[in-house]
Amino acid sequence: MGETPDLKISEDRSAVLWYSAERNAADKSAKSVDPKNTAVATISIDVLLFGLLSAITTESPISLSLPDMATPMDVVAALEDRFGADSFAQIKDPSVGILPCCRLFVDGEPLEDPYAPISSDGAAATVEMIILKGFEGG
Amino acid sequence: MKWGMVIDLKRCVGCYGCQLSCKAEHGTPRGIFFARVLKQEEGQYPTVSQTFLPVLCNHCEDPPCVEACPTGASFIWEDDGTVDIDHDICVGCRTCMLACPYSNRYFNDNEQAYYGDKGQTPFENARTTQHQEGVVMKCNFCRDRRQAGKEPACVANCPTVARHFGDLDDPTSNVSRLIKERAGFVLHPDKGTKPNVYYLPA
Amino acid sequence: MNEIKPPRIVETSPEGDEWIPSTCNLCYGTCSILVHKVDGVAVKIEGNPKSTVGKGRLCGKGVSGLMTHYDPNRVRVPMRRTNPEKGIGIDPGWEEISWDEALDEIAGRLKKIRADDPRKLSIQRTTTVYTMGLPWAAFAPGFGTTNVSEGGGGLHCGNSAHQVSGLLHASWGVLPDFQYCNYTLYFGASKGHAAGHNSNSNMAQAADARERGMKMVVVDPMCNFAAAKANEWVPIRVGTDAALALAMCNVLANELGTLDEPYLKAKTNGPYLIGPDGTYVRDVESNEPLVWDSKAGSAKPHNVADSEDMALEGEFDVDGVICQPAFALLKEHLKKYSPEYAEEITTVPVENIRRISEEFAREARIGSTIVIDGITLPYRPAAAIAFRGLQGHRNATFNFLAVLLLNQLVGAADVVGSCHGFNSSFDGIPETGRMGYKPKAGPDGLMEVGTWMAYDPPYPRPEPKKPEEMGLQDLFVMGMTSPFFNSEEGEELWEKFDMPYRPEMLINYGANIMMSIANKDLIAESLKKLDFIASFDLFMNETSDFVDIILPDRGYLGCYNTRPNTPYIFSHPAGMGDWSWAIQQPVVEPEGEERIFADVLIDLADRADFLSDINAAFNAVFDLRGEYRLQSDRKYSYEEVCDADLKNNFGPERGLEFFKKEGVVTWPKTPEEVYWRPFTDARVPIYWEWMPDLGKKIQAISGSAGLDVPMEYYSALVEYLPCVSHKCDHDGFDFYTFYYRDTLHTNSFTMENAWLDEAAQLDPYSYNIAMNTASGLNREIEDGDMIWLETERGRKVKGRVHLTQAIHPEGLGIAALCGHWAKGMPVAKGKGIFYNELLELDWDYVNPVNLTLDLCSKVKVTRAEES
Repeated sequence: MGETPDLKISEDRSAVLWYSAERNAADKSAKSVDPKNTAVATISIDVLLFGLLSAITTESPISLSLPDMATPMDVVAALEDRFGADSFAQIKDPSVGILPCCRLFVDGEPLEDPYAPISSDGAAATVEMIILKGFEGG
Repeated sequence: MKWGMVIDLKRCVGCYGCQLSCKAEHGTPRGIFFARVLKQEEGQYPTVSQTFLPVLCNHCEDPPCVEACPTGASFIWEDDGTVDIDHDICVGCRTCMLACPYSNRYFNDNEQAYYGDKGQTPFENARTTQHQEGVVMKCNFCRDRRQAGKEPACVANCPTVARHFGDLDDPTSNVSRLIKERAGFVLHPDKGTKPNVYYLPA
Repeated sequence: MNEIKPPRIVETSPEGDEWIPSTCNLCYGTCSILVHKVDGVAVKIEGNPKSTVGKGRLCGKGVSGLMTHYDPNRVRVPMRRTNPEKGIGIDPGWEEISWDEALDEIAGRLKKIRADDPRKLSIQRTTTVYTMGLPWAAFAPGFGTTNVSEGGGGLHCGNSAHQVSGLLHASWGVLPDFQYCNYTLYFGASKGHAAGHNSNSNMAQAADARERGMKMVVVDPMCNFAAAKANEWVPIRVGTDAALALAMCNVLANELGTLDEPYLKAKTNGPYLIGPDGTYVRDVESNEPLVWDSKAGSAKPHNVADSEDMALEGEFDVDGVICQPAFALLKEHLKKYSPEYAEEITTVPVENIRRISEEFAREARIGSTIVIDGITLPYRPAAAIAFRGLQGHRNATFNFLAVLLLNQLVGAADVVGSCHGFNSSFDGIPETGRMGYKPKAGPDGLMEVGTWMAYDPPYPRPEPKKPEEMGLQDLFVMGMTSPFFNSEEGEELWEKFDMPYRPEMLINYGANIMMSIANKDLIAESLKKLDFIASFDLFMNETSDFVDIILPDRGYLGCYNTRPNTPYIFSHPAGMGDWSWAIQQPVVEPEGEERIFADVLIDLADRADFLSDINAAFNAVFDLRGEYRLQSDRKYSYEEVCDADLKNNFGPERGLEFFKKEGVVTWPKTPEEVYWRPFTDARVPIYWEWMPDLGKKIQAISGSAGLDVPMEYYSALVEYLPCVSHKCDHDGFDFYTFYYRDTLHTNSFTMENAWLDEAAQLDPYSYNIAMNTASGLNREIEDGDMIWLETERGRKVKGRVHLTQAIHPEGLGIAALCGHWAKGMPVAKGKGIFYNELLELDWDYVNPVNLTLDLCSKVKVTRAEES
């Protein structure tokens, strides 16, 4: 190999741009709210299961009574208690809680964060759950 | 006024958009392509290059086909310099095809339906039947589209914007400018036909 | 001068003369079109200049769509087989039946399966009309099956391209930023040269870039398409691209030292500390990966330390654990990929490897910035990209990663002029803000995509499980597509894994899996085992021999689709310019009894009693809100669903009627959308920390079933690993075959289009085997000879040779998936070469990470008789 050409830069003007979106550590608080510690009241949640999940039970809606800060994770835990953990194994994952292929809608609005409270004001809610999977390729 | 075309070989990627949009515009029968793409290989492995060369009627200023035509069916439009064929006069003798050094004339004697004995499709019925059989056909720079104020189909459609169309008599036109600035050339200049289709080097 | 009659093509009756906006679907590029109709007959298809998707221009395929639409060989009525015996070439004895009969029978079977185990239904779709998949995205989950596959996951899927582009660029694929790039390296890709995602717009952008002076270097065994337009063609031994790319990375990192350190510190996991076990050293409290804060002289969580202070190199002691930043490990690892080693593997001369690396490093202009629309952005006008060619090998995942690593080292990722994950960030529809998405930081600070083709994103991946999906993607969790979906090989694997069910029924939508995967005999065996197959088709093709009921589809000119171009990561122009939202609508009446497949699916859901589920699925798929949500028990037409989708996104004034008339809505992009990388705090993985652990977890499940996962594919550090073909050294087997996408053809479908077939017959390559001239003459093979190609395992295919200087001496290039034998496709029948006949369909030939099938083979060439 011949002499190494000097390709080094003299001034790095872009560095500041790379650092500009730095995550603010203060923004990163724990997502999970432990209902056992904060909840005093309970709320009624009606759960509607569709598609593959609907095979779990003929009961519809499934009426649950949960602490008022209950999250989708708590709903799934309550469903597991009733119908067995196996039925929900395919939507759960240790790192993200509920896999994104399981779509949850609370009163018709999508809820992306499995650790966010379902009802912020203690009102009853209807939760729809369906697994969307199976796109690939292209 | 003299219509001319400039094809930029640097931009062309050989996608066949011209060849097939021409067919779609005119509904020509099997075997007839007013516009085509040729692929040329030059050099030896590994220093080889591939050139995509789109071709069509060159609308020559001194067209040997017109000269050769015994009936006067092949002619030059005086108002715009394009070479055309009057199919009512053409007797299908094919002398012009032998005279054209570019092989861009076609004799319409193939089946008028692509799907053979299944008959003509509604598209073919609407389009292909407009062509007379037993005559010589070729590109006329999309005369119908021009009359409707549109560019020729191959120009308007080219996905790489490699084709330009304009007045070669006007030194300020896009085509005149491109030929001058980018050293436009014609095919087989040695034949003395003075083509009005120019190419820009790859 | 002669008198000549007025126009010979007469546009009759102006009232019967209309131009209808819609979307092309001769491939999944989905360019916006206008269809000219005169007195009810479609007479011309042109590009729609109002749309940025295609920019008013179409490729040869797009302008030929009417030949497919009016093909008299199209299936026009529902048909049922009368011969129970299924097999290749065995006449099914088709009889015409009514739609009611057909749907009642299918619905009856659906009902039974759904009550038993809905996963016993599998669904197969073609990639050709991939973006028409939304009704399927509702039908399958509404029914309750997760077994949905694209064209069998064979030759045409960019499995690794999507996976790795998703991980590093939050997009389905990558492109150079044609508007500003000055130097681009292509590895096995033809982006901008008439194929693939966003085909037409890319062609114009690439041509602009060439004219502007962008230098293009194309690494490819064959000098066609992209390489033909390149400044330099780098011929390479088939399937060895990763060795070349890693040698180039080595030159950048260890010889030239041209690295964008601030980028590596802020935007990659390069600073994350790796312990002796190869995994992240984590913060005890937060469990976040640690970095070494050089300023503080201590380890801190990555989300606490300032990136600027993070060490990229060095050895550190964190509470007694000796660790190094991931980048340091990568840099050291790259040393084994010397240019000298790479030359031996790839046949690319050492001096070329060093020169191209230097050119790439210089052109990346590390440290520079540029102002676009008043915003200062990093400027890196160099891009290394790849696509299907490079990733169709057993080392698929690493092959793709190796190339994209080049961009990471010099900070050329999603900034001006660089490698782009196209349209990874979208601010949403201006009037409503809906549909917007941005890449964001996920677990361990690594990037999650803002949007994906479905809710199954490339990161984070779920934990591997004992497989219950037919394609085994729940075990091989990095995979998106699987060749084992419908194959006898799959059956063997299902047995090994003690799969709790077997597929009993297949609904197929346009896929011709007998041709699109590999070894057709294994596919045939698996199809025979199914109780029932219903198939939506345009033609009776090779797969139809196994189908029970054929349903005539209206095709792309007869259907509705509200989202042919979204999500924008799939097939929408990249770079600055406009966003366009177009629709697809029926522009022609059916010629027979063809129906809109989406309405048929809704009809089936109704007849099989899962209407409320498909409605819930539509609500979820389209994210319908408020008044636009579908009511549980009502049966909608797909037209109504489309209207709801459009109003839900664009407001009440712009529903289906508006879009049917206007065709497309367009508005400008912003620099923050296009050049999004500086604006995200997400990092991307240049060290795949999770891989060895994932590999062990998969092996723990698969090993006990007797399927061994080679762990080298689950390395945290990218490797070159050879294909099976590279290990074949038997006498006489001296050519590597490879497949490429032809500009004239899409998958195995367009050979039946009479215009495209005719053009392909005139093309020197489309239907022939490309062989290096000298290699041919050395074996006394002449241009035009018929030859046999035969693999070590005895798989054979015959074809005509085209001798060319434009191919690597060891390579044999074959275009598309030709060689049809079905009599229902008489134009296509017997044309070209059936490449897949050479391919094995078994575990040794798939990428053990994501199940991409290896598409190269080592063959012996012998002369064949003329037939």
